[in-house]
Amino acid sequence: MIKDNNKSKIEKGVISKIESGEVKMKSRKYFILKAFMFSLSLLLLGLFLLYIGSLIIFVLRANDIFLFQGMGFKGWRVVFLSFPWYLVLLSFLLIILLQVFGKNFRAVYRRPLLYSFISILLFVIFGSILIEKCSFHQTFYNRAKQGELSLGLGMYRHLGDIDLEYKHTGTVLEIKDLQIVLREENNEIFIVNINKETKGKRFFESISAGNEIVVIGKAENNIIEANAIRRINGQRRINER
Amino acid sequence: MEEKTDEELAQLTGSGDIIAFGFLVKRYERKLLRYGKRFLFNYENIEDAVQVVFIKVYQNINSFNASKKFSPWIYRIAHNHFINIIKKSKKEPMLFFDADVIFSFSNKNNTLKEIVVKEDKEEIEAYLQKINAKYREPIILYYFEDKNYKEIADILSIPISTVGIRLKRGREQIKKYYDKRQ
Repeated sequence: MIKDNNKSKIEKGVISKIESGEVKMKSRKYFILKAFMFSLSLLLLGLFLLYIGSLIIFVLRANDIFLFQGMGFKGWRVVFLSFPWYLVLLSFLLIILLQVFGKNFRAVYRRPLLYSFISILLFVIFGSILIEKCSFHQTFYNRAKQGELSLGLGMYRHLGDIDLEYKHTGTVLEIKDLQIVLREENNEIFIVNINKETKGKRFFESISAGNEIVVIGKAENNIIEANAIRRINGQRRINER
Repeated sequence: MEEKTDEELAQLTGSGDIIAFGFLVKRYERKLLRYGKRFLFNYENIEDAVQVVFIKVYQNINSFNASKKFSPWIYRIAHNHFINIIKKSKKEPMLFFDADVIFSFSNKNNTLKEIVVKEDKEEIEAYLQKINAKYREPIILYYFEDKNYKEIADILSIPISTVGIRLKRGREQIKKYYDKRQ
């Protein structure tokens, strides 16, 4: 017991509450565990954010949305309408959450929020590009297509199924000069004209009858002026890398 | 015990030394009462509020990193508690979204003006109650508690550049009231 001489009202009040056991000190273990849980949550949140970011890129690639870039306004319209905005919104919310968590760190709160927001954004963009380069999503996608995945991961099955205007997928029946005869999955036959501005012409030389290809371009009277083409690699319906 | 630093006393408290904590209370009681009286000018139970701050300090003393300074840490606990009081009392608006924290960039031209204004503490104090809480607090910490920009940034968890902006805006508000009175 501490002597009460020269003690202020506040000091007396605080010390008596401590001595009576009414107020207890939290143990060091409690704070270590709390810091560990906090760091773990931050790590999981960061990883989930990278997963969502890379999934956005994968969805764009799986649906050949990158092939629309040379189509001008029409292409941008298709990209805008088919963009996975729900994933973008989710990643934006996760970035805000990460920012809120990060505010506990001196390195974060001592600088304007805009700096940390841009840093997180750059981390997500570059990290997502790197992760998407690995075969992570591709493996899930292929396995889901083959019916090997169920429950949550089964959603991969439909990731490449966005119905896009100006996109034609089918089998090459014949190739002559700069023309391809293409049969779509619904057996409709198209003539695809390859011109100087067609993107992905490098694929044209390696395409042969029987290959599956994707053509981006407006079809009129079953003739497509190709803005972009690419060959589907084997069973994968994803860009060749 | 009196020669020991705040950080040493905090460490001793963490290992169960209540006498060491008593010394910490003695050292900070007047400072926190002064801080509370200026910041929570329309709150009656400042002593109770400061007592709660010390209880929180005791409960969380093991989270204090003794390699850092104790003073910003205890002021941070006091700041959080005082802000909660303001929020509960609803007497003053507390903004959730603050553009100063998002877009603030450093303003180094303030230094000289601040040295001049620093001599006018009494004048500033008279108008403190009239200005917004978010500008009032950095002014109290800087002019009355002698905290530097970095310490204020740590206490309020805001960017260092925002401290400068809030001090500048706070001074401008005070000057406006001062000019009106003249």
